[in-house]
Amino acid sequence: MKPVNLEIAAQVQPYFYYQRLNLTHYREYFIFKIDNSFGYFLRAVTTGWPAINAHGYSSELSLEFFNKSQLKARQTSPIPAVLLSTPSGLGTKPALLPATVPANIRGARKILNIFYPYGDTVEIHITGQDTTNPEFIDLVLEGYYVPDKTLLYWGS
Amino acid sequence: MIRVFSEKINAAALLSGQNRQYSEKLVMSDSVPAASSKLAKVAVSNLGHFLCLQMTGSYTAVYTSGGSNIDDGVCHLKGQLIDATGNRRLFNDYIPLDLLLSPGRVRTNTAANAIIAVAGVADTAPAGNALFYPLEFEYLFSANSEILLDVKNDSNYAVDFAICFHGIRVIAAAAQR
Repeated sequence: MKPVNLEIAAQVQPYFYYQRLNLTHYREYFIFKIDNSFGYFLRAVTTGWPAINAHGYSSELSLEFFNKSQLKARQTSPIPAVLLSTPSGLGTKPALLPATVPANIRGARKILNIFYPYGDTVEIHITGQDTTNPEFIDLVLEGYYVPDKTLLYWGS
Repeated sequence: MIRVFSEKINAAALLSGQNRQYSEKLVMSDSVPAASSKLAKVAVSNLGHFLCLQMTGSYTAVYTSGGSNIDDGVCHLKGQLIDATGNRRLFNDYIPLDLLLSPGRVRTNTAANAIIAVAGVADTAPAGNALFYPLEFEYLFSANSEILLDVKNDSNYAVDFAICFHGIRVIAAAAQR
């Protein structure tokens, strides 16, 4: 095992950003304004939503990632949420869950590795909902603040 | 995949290395009272800095209904992780623990292990989660500091949780920069 270099180990700060979005419109927005002087390295997104049918699984929901500052879409078309993160049964409607449906499994998720420059805004559009879809979705951004040492904020 | 044994093992170098740094696990576990919050903590100690690499954790899901304590399968805990050094909050908000912890829900042995189905017939609570996906969480906690978790419980019964921080202890005297 290589010795740990503390200067390198201390350079990043994890910052997990959580939001619960009510899905009331055809397109919902998840917005996270990144602190100035820091870039944000987004490793993965974990999602969760309440099961609404007997199989504990639903959702035609799709996610699109945007770099707000560059108006750049990170994919050619919306990505089905289940292809980014396995759905975690939130168990918020236990009366609808038969005993065979496991509750509250934290989803496994795909590593994304998207870097947002300083002062940028992480924007995620959620689409694909209709009247049969869950009323909300939980999102956790798992990422790290990375100081942008080229900025005067960090000294000349 | 890393092949740990792909090269000849130098026992002397390994032992020498372990005098400077070694694999460490810090465990935080507590019980959060009903409809209340608690500040759980685990000390990093003065042995040296702790480079956390991953997190695993579990919680119980208990609710009192009709005079019975039942395992309702719902996560009632939300937590915000704090580095006591500088009181730095590492989450923007209180995050439901079922979005973070794996294996997550474990069956409780304090409850009747029953959930009440829609028809009112008692049934057996689902088995605890068996999938194991450690959460990547890389952060350097300073020596002599504490790892804090501010936890809220929205159940009407006390709920337990346990979290293991997996990482590397860097012995203070041997810290390399």
